[in-house]
Amino acid sequence: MNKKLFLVILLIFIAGIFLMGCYTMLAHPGVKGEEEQAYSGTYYREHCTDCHTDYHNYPYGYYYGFSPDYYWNYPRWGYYYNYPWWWDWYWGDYSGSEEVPHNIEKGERRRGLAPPYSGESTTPVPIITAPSSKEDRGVIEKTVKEKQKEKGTEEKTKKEGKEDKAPRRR
Amino acid sequence: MGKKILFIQISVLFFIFFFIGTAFSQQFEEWVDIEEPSAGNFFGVGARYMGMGGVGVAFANDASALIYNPAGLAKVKRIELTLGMSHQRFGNETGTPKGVKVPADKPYFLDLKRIQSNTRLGSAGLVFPLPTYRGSLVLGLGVNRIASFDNTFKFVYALDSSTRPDAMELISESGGIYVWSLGGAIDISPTVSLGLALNFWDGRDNYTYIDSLGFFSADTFYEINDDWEIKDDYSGFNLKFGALFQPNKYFSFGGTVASPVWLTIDEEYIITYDSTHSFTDTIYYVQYPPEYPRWKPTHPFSFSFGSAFNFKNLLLAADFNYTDWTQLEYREAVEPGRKNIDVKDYYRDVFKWHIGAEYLIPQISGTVRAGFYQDPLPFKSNHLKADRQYFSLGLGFLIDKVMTLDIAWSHGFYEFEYPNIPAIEKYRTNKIFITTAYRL
Repeated sequence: MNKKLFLVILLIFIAGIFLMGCYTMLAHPGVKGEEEQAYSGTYYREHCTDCHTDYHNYPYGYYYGFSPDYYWNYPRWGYYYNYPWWWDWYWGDYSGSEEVPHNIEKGERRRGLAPPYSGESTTPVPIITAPSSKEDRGVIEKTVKEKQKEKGTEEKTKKEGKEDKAPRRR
Repeated sequence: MGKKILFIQISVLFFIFFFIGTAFSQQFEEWVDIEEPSAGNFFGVGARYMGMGGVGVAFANDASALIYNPAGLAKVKRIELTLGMSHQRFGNETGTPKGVKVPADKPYFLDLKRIQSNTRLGSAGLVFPLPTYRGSLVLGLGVNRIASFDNTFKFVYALDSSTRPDAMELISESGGIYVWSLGGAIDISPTVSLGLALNFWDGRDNYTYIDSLGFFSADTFYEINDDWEIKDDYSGFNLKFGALFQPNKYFSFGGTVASPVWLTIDEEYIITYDSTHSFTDTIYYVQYPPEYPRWKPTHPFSFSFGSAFNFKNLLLAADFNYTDWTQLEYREAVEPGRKNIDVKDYYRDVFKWHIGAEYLIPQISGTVRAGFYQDPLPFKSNHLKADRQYFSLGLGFLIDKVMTLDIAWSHGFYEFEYPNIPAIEKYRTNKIFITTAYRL
């Protein structure tokens, strides 16, 4: 096959993947009503768990993709294969006064994939094992939220006008 | 006048020798004269995968994914640095088949074994996952020793089993091809990843062929030797597409398409002849000027498919590969038309298959592995008694959650038998792979 023709077809194929829109996201999608904050000098939406409270309970990427059982059963292997190197940078468990994650928090998070992860959170988080189906996940999410509500520690899903000094996510 | 007659005698003897040499040259069969050493030549990459019989298309999730399935890079979540080495003991055995009575008009091949060992840098790589909010985007850079030219061959025969040996042929070859890869992978859905690797081929083949023939004629002993030194510099380029589909935590499926490999081989060869005879101790020495031909073979497309099953601590996997080597084509060669006709006559399409298993033993924080694969020769042969096949075993250890050490041993063999000569030709290889990876 003509080498140049082959390369042209390849480039068209690659461009097509990106132009069609991609499942993989390198930036947080915009949220209606928060456009001004999104483009401000300090983007407040750096604490993932401010909105995605269930990240306390599940490891990165749990909802997306599948892992072998031994990643869960033996967290050392799960840490080596499945714990993203950038995950510690985006943890939102700050009280607001620290500029960088506390060393103890970081050490606590490097325990591997065994939940829960919020070592110093005031929200009691149940210890769970990997649900085997989407239905089970739904039941567990509901249980966690109900418990949070009972203890009166339901987190706000939106914070306004808060300047944040936590490390900025790209 | 005396010297002139002697020169004519030497020339006639040389012609006779060359004729005999052609019939028995280079591993006995005609196809060797048109052999492209890089065709059907996969040495093995990554100790984890080679310990499992060379599988990896459906589950490779480290820097070796650049070779097995670039889409597997999408499974890497941490920055990885990797380094690997290999050691090979290549053994050749020739002789007369056991229990066969050699006819009086046939040569008698002495039982010979020859071993050549080589230790090489096998691989090095860097994988960098980009931070994502969802999905995966990973870049990889690596160099892997994908083909090996390390081998040896020798035979010695006597025209009469009771007399001293009359002829010897020896081949010693060394070198290999490294593939420099730049690749990336992306998740296009929760269960599907795509990947692409750009591969730049670079290598060298050093080939030495020595022929020696000694005989008596009218009470005068003659010895004629020739020595071929051939050096080939390889360079080339190809692409590899990969896709990975993981519908649940138990199964994963992968497929790859490797584009044709556009190779360029710059060759230098030197041929030397010398002869002596006992009457005058005269030595005639001829060295032809070096020649520098250029060859441009194109390897055909290659297709792979793999599947893996993961249940608790056990991983089972199988890979299949198809390459139609009759589509090997010379874009440039000495007599390219004739070369391409020979390819159609002597090459064949090849179906390779691999199976492997890995079991995690948490008490030792390690894994044990085993595998088997068949790697048929790309040439046709009516004398192939056993085609290329390899057994493998491996161990892997996770050290302090950040580092892995993998070791693999692979044993392979193939054999030819030539009833008409009669002669046997056996090859045995033992390879050891060691790979270590560190994840930041």
